[in-house]
Amino acid sequence: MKEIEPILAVTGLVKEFKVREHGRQVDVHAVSGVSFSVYPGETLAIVGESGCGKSTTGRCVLRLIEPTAGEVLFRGTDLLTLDSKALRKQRRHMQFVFQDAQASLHPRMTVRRLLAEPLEVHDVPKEQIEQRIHELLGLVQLRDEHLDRYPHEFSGGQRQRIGIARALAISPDLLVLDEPVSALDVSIQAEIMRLLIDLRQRLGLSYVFIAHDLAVVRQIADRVAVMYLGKIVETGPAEQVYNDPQHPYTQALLSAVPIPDPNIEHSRQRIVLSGELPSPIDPPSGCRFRTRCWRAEDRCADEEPLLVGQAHANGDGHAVACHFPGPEVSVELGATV
Amino acid sequence: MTDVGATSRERTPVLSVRDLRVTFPTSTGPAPAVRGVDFDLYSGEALAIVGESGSGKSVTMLAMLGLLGRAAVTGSAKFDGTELVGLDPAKLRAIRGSKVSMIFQDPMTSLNPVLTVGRQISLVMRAHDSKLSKAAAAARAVDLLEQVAISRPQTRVHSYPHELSGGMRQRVMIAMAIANNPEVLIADEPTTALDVTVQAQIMELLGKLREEHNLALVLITHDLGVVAGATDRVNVMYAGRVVETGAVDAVFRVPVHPYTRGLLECLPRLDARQEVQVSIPGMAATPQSLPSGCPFHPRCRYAVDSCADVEPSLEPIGETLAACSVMAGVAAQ
Repeated sequence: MKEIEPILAVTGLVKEFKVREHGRQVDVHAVSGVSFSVYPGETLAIVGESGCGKSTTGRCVLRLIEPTAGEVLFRGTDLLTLDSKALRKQRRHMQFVFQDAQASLHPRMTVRRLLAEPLEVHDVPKEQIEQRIHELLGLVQLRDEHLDRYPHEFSGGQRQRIGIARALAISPDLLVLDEPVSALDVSIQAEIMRLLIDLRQRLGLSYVFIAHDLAVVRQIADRVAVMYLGKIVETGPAEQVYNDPQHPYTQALLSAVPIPDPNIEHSRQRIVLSGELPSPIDPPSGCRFRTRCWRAEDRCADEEPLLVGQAHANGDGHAVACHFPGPEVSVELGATV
Repeated sequence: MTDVGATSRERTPVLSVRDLRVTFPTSTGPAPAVRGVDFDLYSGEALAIVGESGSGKSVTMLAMLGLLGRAAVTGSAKFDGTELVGLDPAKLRAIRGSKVSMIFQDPMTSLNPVLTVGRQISLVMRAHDSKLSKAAAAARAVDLLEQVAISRPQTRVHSYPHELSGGMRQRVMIAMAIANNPEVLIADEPTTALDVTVQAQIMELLGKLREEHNLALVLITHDLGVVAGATDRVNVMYAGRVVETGAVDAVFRVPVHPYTRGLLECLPRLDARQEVQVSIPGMAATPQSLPSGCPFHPRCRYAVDSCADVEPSLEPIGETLAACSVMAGVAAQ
């Protein structure tokens, strides 16, 4: 499979925001050199906690915000060098789904208008628009009677379906989904996850799935990249990252997720991280996780660990950015079912 | 109501709720948000109230504490023998924030942005103890911050809420909630807005405080994962009623009510890769659109015709109490 070219190849992505703090201008190092690839039909999940840079990374990929540096190759074309006209052409092939469909859908547009808009922007002939709208409704399992309603008349789950239909309107190949289910109740979450998995297969889509919920990610991800303070600390096939995490942060993150089984919860050893996330304005030297890491030694402050491992040239192996990687013996996820 | 899994039957509950009902007036008529809830809570015990948006889990607690302006509240909620429903506002104020306290999902909107956290903690104490001096309250505020594991409490006491992270703000809320040594702490989605590693810190803190102060904890949450690790008993709510209640081990091992089963089945799990299960189709019933009979029947895969006629009440089925006539019938055979 790996002779196939990636649909998306990101290298050395950097995003710095300029902010004023106490009257002087400083840089927020939101994303500091992130590289990953996504292959056709595959789902790469980017996981991490607030402030790790996962959403900024997703937005930079589609140039919804302008990256500071790096390279974003979409089927071999560097998106960062394109002018706005050429970029709009490429955007046909990649779309963004937001967490909050309520905020991303215009409140005074009907579903019909919301779905027609992207088609008009991309010059789909008028006579085809109506038919395409009906196809889209079918894809996300909404009914024709919904067409003339406004976003506020729908439930959260239905609104997310509209957001997905809108993203799919111009038949993209890649979707960047930013926390697409985190605002929904669990029963509705399951419906939307089911829909996303079915659509991926039916339409041959590739996903960049950005989420903080590691249990949700496990349902959909082929590969996972774990971010901490603007960097990928561990990446690899999902099963390897979940079953055999090597980076202490990945281990702490997995150990913090509660498991809905009292027997497992009561017997589990939990790593409770101490301290707070350092400021991205002034991140720690060397390894950015070292200030909260129980394995840290002098070397971690002096020398930044590179993301290495059994990484293949195209970055699809299991790789860890840690001077002292390895399994955490005292932590187990508990019995697997 | 018989109380499955209560730690001791001889002890009197610190909180005893019977047939609590809350109805909101709306432009389309009265909306019954809570429709007869019963439960007992004992000292040192942790009770989870689980449900999805609109199930009435928060409203039950807010109503009990007189925090719902226009709603009609009936039934009974006794704290240490004192009836809270219909209690004189001044008397209720003396209990609320003192003997029974509550923390909320979003600490930023619950904290006053223009007061230092030390001053806010002091105010909570002095509101309930007029003899407490400013200096003594300030000193105790530092103590409390230390108890909730905030580092450098002498410095932090002078911080404003915006200077703190989300996790620290929730710790400050907890410090305020325990300032007057409450007997009952109600935590409404206390970790929902927090990152998972911070959630682990906060849940550990709540567990520690519960043990040290013999607190009774009511944890309102939609997250069954948190429930599994942190509570003794669980009430599952749907459409304003408790549809299943029991010891947490029993409810997770052999859930009886189809809604509880569905919730557990569709939950994504970290410890195994699994197919996504859409086990509860359709949308949750709302107070404005309550189905007849069992309110869950339109979404229930076990429903029979009679489910649309009669609303079942809680009865012992298996190891829990559940409100489901189909499961009751199965168990009786």
